[in-house]
Amino acid sequence: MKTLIGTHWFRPQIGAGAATTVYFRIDRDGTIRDVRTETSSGNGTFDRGALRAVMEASPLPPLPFAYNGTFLGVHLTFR
Amino acid sequence: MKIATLALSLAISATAAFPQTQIQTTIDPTKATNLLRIAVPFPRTALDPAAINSAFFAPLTRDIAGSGIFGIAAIPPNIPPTADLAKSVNAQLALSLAVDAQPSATDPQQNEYIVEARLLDTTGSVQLGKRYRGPWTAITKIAHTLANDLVRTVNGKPGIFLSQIALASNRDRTFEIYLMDWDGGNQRRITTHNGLSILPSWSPDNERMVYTSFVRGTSDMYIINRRGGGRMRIHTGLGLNTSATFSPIGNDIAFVGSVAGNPDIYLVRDDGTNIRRLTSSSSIESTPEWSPNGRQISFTSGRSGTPQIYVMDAEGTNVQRISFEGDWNDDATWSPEGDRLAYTSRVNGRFQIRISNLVTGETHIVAGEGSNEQPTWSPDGKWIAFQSNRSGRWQIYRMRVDGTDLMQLTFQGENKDPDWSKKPE
Repeated sequence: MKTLIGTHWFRPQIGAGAATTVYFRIDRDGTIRDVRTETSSGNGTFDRGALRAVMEASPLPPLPFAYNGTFLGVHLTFR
Repeated sequence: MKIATLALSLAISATAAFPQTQIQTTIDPTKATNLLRIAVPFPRTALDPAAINSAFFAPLTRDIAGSGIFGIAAIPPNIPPTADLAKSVNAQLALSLAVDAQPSATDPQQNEYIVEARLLDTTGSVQLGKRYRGPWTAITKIAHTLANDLVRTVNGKPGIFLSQIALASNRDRTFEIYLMDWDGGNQRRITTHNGLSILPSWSPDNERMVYTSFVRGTSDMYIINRRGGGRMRIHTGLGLNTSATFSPIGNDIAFVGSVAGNPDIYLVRDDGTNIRRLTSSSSIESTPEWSPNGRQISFTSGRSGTPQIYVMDAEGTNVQRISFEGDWNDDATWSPEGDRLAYTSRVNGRFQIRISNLVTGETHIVAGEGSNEQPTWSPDGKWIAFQSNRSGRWQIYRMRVDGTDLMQLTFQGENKDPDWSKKPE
């Protein structure tokens, strides 16, 4: 998942030490939904880049068959 | 719940803080991509496509390709430039452009041109939407401005596409000072001394230059503004008055002056007052350059028997030798971060650009044909412009700091002494 999201993530060359947490849900079929900034880095460009990376990584591979929830919630921190 | 079997290779630090249907994890900068792939279809326009291409689209795509941030995605001919363009060519972004003209009722020269730009991601959201207006003569500048805005949108700071390179050229008979865009476009003459004028150096605010002219028969320093007005001679009472360079802080100028024929490094206020001597060696001292924070000055000195690079504090104290390789090093210039020096270094009888890391002490040559001299850094520290005689005449070239993406910027007459403006815009 992180590799896939990383291919869509361009980290701005500003804000060393910046961190933003993005929350999103992965549906059973791998679709990413409900993407939102949970904790802002205080830098709009940094936050937008993280949001864009998650949105563009959709769909991810489906969740495994053995997983018995309807979705998986992810709190992903970009550093 | 068998999160551990997830095929998604989730590196999990699932803790008690979250219910089992939630995970918390971190993605670090090593996972980030170095280049964003961007699709840039030709603008929608009713105007002459050839003219739009040469004045607008070609410089725009050159800027985007040179940004170090975007990689341009090829668009196969059968792909329509729809909202899904980025996705269909496997890019992360698409730039949608339209160029239109608003004709003037009285004079076609007064036509206004309008560029509409929308940067879309694959989810269809607009990352940047902007409209630019101007006369035809400003259309290339609009391309550079748009490219800067694109870089700022994803990188948080603008590109260098509006920066300027000052140079000395004899294309109109005697050497005079000229300016050009970072890609060699828009070359224009600034001085009209009709006498040898060389070695331009930008002020930190990109508004003025200081240079050396021999028009009065002696070697003198002049300040001029970037449009060619406000010319002023700085009288020091010393000989030489050359290699002048503005302090990045305050209003001092460092220069080479001489008393009884012995050149040393001096400071002078930009109004010609308060002359201070920094070096007092019997050898030749030359080519001072300020560190970006204004606290140090690099210079060339022959005190060891051969020309070598030294650094001193801006008060003239604490002199340290920097270069030790070979028997000729000159023209040092600081990277914008102040962590590296580029200078001219003689290797096997030819001059080459050497880059020295002041933190690690490591140096390396960026090799090229012919002799390569007088390096100057771009404001973002990613490019170096320099003069080379590889074509048989002195011309100005630009390359990435690693020596790739070489581009010749001047072609008429001989061109020397490049100096890149200090601010990106």
